[in-house]
Amino acid sequence: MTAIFAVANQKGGVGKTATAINLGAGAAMQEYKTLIIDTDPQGNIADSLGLPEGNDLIGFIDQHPTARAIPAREHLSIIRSDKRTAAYKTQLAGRDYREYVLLEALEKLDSSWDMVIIDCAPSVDILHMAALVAADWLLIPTRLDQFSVKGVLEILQTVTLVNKRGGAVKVGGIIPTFYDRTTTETQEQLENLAAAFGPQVWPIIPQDSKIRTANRAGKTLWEYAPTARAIAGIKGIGGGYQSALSRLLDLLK
Amino acid sequence: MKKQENGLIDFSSSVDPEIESAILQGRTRAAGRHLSPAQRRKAEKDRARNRLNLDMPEDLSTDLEALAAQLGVSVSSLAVYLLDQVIDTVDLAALEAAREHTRSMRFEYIMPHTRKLNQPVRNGSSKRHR
Repeated sequence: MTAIFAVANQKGGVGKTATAINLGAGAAMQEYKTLIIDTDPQGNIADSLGLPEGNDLIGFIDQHPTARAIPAREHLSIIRSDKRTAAYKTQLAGRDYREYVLLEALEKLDSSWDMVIIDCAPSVDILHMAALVAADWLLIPTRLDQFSVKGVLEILQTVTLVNKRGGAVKVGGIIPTFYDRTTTETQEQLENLAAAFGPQVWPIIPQDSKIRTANRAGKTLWEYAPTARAIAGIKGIGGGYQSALSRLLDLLK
Repeated sequence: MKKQENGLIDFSSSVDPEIESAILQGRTRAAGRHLSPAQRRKAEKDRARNRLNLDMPEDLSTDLEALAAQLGVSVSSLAVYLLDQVIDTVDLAALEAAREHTRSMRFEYIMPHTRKLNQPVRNGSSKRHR
């Protein structure tokens, strides 16, 4: 059975795309057949994987016969998005049952996919809601600052709303990103998150400039710097995408 | 790690062990920020020490302290010296034969001794072997 994950936070710049790519690529390296769907008009997924820009999302949602996922790496494919998605969302707004468009498209996927990761845009729009309706699990990356943590509460409110209307998404994990152990704010917000959400808070992802340089090189962090702190974590603390990936794979069991 | 109304940590719901490590290390670092360089060096040295807490009969610790004072050495160094004298030459079979069964949840046996061990009082009532 294909597990569907939505990576979302209504706050921007919290590491949603980096999380989607590095968890997806990590799973693919362990031979899980993985599909990453970019629903953000910024279209950063293709760019981060060194692939040409394009839009496969519209065809995928409209279930166009020629629509297909683009192979990005072994066991990893993507559905790209670009700025045309912004205009498409306006079209979708007039459609009946618009919150179900992604769910319907995903139901047509063949069962060979082990997981689908939907990278959401940082806004509450129609595709954001459609991703939450389609997903089994929600992953919420958050920076450890007040506004981003507030974004976690906001998306949880949205989840409650979606589930009241027939959705069934569960919070898989809250992922503290850009962890900088030298600041008091980081420490306080991490303690607040842990106090509020307990075991739902996944290991921290350390702040690491190699994420940006890997994006620029069009490589995943696993390819570009497999020993980077954002992958391997911090000595004595752990964390990193390696730990986050093991939590993700636990959800598949 | 939920907190109770009184601010104490509620361990009824756990946190991810790696989050707990991050929080604890963060607290240690935060505490270290208020120390002078000399205090920080001492704190680092203390953390690097290998320490072991033992339940020990009171009269044995009194005897150890008295002997250490007489020799002008620390209790730790005397205890280490005495253990070091016997640990490699100990007769394992004799030790196994000397063990006694215990009702402890954690251990199957205890090592008997002739000195009286002060038992920790739990919830003001029951005492148990450790």
